[in-house]
Amino acid sequence: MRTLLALTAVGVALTLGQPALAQKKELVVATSQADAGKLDPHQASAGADKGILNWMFNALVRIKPGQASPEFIEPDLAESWTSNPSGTEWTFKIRAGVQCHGNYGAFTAEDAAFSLKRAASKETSAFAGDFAALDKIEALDASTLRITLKSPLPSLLGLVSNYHGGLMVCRKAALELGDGFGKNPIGTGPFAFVAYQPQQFVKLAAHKIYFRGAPQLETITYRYIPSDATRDLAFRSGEVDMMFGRQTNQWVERTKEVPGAVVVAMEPAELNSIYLNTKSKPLDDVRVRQAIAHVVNRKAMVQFTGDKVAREAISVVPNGNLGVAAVPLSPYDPAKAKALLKEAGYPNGVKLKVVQSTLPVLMRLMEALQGQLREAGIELDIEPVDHPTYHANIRKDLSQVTLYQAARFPVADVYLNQFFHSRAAVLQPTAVTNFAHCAAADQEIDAARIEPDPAKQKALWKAAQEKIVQAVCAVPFSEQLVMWAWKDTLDLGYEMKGSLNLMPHLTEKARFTK
Amino acid sequence: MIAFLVRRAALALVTGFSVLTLVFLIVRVLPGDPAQVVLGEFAGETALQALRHRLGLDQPLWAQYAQFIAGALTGDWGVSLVTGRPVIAEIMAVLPWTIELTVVSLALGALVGIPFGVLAAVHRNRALDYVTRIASLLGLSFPAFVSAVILLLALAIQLPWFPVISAQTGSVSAWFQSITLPAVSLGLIMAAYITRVTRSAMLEVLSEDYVRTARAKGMPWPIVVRRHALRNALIPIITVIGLFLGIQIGNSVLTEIVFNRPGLGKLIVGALNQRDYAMLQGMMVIYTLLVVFVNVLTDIAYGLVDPRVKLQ
Repeated sequence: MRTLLALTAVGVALTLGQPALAQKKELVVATSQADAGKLDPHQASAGADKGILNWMFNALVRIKPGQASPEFIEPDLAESWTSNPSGTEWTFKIRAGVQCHGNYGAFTAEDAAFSLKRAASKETSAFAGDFAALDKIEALDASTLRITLKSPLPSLLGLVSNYHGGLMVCRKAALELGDGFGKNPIGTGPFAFVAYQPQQFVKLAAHKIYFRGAPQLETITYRYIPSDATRDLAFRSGEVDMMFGRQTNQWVERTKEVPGAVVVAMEPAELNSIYLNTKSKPLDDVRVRQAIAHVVNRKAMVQFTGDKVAREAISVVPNGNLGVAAVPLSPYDPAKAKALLKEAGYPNGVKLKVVQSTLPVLMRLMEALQGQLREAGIELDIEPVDHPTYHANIRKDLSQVTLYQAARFPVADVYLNQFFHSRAAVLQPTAVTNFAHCAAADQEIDAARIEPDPAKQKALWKAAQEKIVQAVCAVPFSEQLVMWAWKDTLDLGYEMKGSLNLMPHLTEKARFTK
Repeated sequence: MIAFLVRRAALALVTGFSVLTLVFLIVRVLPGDPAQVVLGEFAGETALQALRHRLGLDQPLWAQYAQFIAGALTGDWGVSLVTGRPVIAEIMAVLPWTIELTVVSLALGALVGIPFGVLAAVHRNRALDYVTRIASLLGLSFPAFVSAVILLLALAIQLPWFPVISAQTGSVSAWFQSITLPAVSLGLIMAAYITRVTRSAMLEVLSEDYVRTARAKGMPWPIVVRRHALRNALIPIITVIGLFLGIQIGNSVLTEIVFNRPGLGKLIVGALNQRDYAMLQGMMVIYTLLVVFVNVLTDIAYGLVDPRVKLQ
């Protein structure tokens, strides 16, 4: 009996002494980028860089993780904020007890002011133009920041959110590291930079004293895997827990078959439009542009791309943007297109020059459009060039028809200003991406920008979209969602609907359930 | 020997300088704005102009050239326009990976290719010869990226013996696991080529009078093949290996991408896509130096293998 008891005791002790099945604490994420660019939030322009920076940095405000709309803006480094009635003066109360990574001390309003000035300087920022409306940035004390604007901005909170130049750097670190800041980024986010291996990975570790609580994951390895096939295989073999996907139905179906895989189509969608140069013949005749709009078959374009990764465009502004209006787009009607061309004096059709990127995703779309336009006798003379040349040449006004795929901060003001305001027309010092030389709705766009009443502002944005569609500055046809996949054992800590940076936001709550 | 090396070094200098000038001109003929690439599509015109000024891209071509040559001579190759990291550091971080892959795959190619080439020649027009010729033809016809994906599917997914991401470090077994599939993928092509060259070189030598004499003297056939035939057939084989060493450094890009290994190939493709002038220039200099170095090594190897070749 004594022996039996002793054996039982030993058994129980051994059982209790067994370590529980360890919960995985290391996350491996794979991106399609070949290597890291500048890991400086004010200079990073590639999507894959901006995504990882969001795990390391905070902003004054943030869009709630899992959401992609400015309706979900919530406090981040700023606890609260107020503005004067005209919206030209904003005061932010900076959260106390936020610590920078490393030994760079507490984050204060001084850091916030420094960071915004850095983001607004053309010497240190790629987004300086976005901050042109800022007049004064002052730290009134350690916890109060005041921003004075030259004129009201409908998206000031967007500007200081976790998107582009809004991410906050720690002053002491930025000054001490200088140009080396991009090699050793110091933020306040849940994960801190640890190491970078060229063409391989960036490693992050939990920032244990993160102000929202210690992250549950211990490390994140962010791997650069440019080959789609290799990324898929690494996910299948279990070497990667989360990966950037491909925008095709086949990829979605194949990845869903991987045991334990979750496939997610994320907002915001990128809008696919062709921009018609209204200053060049024969596109200076609105009837020719209308003919093009009538022969583009939006439904067929979505089927061509894949209905699991794309949807029809509803306006010249992406669906989901604050202020987007479902304006009536031209119905598919090749007969009407031919009639319009005949009426414009082109009974035998027209030939248009296109500078086109050879990036497969864009080239395929343009070839499909070329086939559709041919139905009405509109011939596209495509000049295929590599992607950097495409970007340079379309800005030199060398393309009559420009296919452009874009998502911007999801407030209609941004898209309308960048793509359709005459100020933004290419070949000017203030140029952005108005390839059409559109000036159809300048008045409405400008009026909406300073309109304090949200309802009236939306009405102005709607009117602007209607005018742009009527003037056929652009023919929007589809929207492409961003695809990601991850293991079902990874719990992000929120419901994923979208992410402005086109990459899942990894917060202190992300964890593995096994 | 010393005079030979000095002469080769002088020639290498002239080659290097010509390449530097050509590279400088070629990268600037490429269309596309590096500032736009660096700052991205969101950048406004003012930020673009500021960056062009900071990078010296708004200076006259001759001034940029003078700066580039001075930098190249003093070892200052500048910083990458895209990452902001020093060009030399970026190259040196990945160069060992490329050299490792090239050397291991070449060794594999030679170890497989030379014996099979010899066997095929010795068994000319027999089953072994036919099989070797067909296999080598297949090896040559198979693009490296196809064999790479097949290897990954078979040996990393179906039989999980090797990792998909072939860039593990830290231990000998991790190194072995990482190098095996990429080296096999790249080595297969080399093996195929070396097999064919060895076979034809051996066939030529085996029909020589001195081989017949050696056999007539009663020398055992394996010794005849090894000492009299193979040694004399080595010159074309070394030529091929030398050529391949240079080509393979460039050809490894697809293997690097599929197996997700760091390397010069990936670096140069990235620099080209991003119009990273500084990086492209640095890479070209490194490639030139490597090719010149390999050529010198090949010349030296000729003299060592065949005493009739004088290093003059």
